[in-house]
Amino acid sequence: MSFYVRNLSKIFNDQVVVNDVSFELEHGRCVALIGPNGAGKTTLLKMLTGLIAYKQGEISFQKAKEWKQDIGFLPQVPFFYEWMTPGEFLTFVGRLSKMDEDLLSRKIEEVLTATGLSEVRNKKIQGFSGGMKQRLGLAQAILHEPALLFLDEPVSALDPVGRREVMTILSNLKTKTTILYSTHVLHDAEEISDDILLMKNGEIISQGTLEQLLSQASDVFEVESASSLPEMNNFTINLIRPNKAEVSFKSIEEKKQFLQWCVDQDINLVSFQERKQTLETLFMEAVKP
Amino acid sequence: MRGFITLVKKEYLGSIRSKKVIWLPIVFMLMTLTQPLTLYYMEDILKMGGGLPEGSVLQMPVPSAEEVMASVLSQLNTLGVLVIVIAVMSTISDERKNGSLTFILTRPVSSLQIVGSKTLAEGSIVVISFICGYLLSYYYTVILFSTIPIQQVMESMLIYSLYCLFIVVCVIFSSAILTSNGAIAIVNILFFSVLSIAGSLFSEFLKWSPTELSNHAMNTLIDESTHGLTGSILVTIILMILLLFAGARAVDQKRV
Amino acid sequence: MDNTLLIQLLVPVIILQLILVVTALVSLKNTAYTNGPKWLWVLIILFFNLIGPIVFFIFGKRGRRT
Repeated sequence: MSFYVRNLSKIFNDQVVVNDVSFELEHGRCVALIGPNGAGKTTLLKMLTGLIAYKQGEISFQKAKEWKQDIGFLPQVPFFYEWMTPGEFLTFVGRLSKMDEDLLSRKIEEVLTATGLSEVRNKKIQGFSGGMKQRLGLAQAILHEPALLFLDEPVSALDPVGRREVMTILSNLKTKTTILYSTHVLHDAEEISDDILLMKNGEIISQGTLEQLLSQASDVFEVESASSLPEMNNFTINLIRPNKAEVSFKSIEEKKQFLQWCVDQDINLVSFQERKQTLETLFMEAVKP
Repeated sequence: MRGFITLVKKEYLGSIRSKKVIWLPIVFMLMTLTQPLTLYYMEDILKMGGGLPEGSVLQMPVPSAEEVMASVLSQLNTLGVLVIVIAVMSTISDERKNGSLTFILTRPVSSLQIVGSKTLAEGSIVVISFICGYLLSYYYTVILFSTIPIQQVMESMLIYSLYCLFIVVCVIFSSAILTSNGAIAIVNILFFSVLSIAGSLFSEFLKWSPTELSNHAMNTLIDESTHGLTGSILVTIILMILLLFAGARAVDQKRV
Repeated sequence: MDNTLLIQLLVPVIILQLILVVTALVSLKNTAYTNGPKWLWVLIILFFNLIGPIVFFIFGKRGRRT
């Protein structure tokens, strides 16, 4: 079962926040939604979870009658009824999701253990730290075993230990659930994601599997010479050190010209190689104005 | 149905934890019992205040028990409305502002269930609080003045309970469409004062207005006239149903 | 003035006031985050009859966003 989103748009006060977004979510994949602040990631997630109404576009899974039974959502800053305990809260939302009582009590044990909240299950939420609330938010999102999980910045507010725990939970879920999550932490995205959606100014500007994106031939090369590099006004370069620079080429011709020029200038080249793509270089490249 | 019951239980649990189930009845009881007390001791209070010249004979007509009960209701028209408004105003607006509503809206429950559960829970707490206060003031009135047929008291109590419920429905509706609690309070207090003043000015034109319910409740005590009562009850019930649906619609459209 | 009658009538009032104040104070003790300092709320609850506890129940507690 795969899900698709087609031509989704949202306009807030004459401002296009989500612009003609289309993508597919394949079953059992973990998809990272990355992009700079204000790209429209949160708005998109809220539209997908039914929190924001939309007029233009199509979201395939929302056509089913009881589709909310099949989704889980962790908002960016989860806020709970502070007078409840985690146990009470999970019972409350589980019943709202029409879970069977036996299954519910079993699942509550399971998610409390998975998120490390078993110890505080009968404590009032009002004393919880941000990290604990984040984990409770994750617990309620996965409680009813939704087919689709939407997480808005699940790790950004956590310390490295908490981040690691959440990443482990997500990796374990990958087999059963389709996950779409937004993040700023590109390193984590690279680690557990199968697919990437890169968003900017309300549009998806790049999408594909992680391998596809990272193996895209780079047009940036790293040049290193034994001594300082001379002025290179004819080429688009980015000097990193006096003897090391990144050069980007628009064509193979230009690359040949550059190498010829190096020979002409009698530059003692130490290395000349394609820059290795990471999600970070891809991200920086894409969001460059 | 299970979803609705779950939501209602959560509202009650919240009201127990916030102690609303304790303070609201007590506040109503304290508000209502002061009325028979002050009316009974009015003469002494005025004397103690020393506002009367020596030797002057005070001719205070002693109010009838029915009049005392009616004055209890008339006091609730101002203070009672205020207390109901501030007790209920934040029920939806706060949950939307802090984001806890998100966890309900992403689950398979309808907005009508959300608004309905709040109306049932808040409405029952407010009505029971009013009944506690009203019965206590009845007890005081019987001790200090004279007895009133219980049927009259019950009738006026039921009519006024409907009025309380109407106020709750109005406040919940405003809580669904407005964000600021201050705005919700001001809008509702203005609405109810303007409507009741207008009701007394254009009594024939507005004889079916919900605010007339409080006059009807007083009339059942004093002169037992029921002119326009059925109309008021019908209009109030229809308005409540409309506001319930409109509130649900507002929750749907203004979700986060 | 009949003093015994007055006392009989005032006892329920005092009991209700007492329950209200005690409930407010217990609730204040169990609240982790209040709007404004806690000692101020203690004074408000104790010295403003009726109004003090109500004001605390409605405006005293603060939901904390992290």
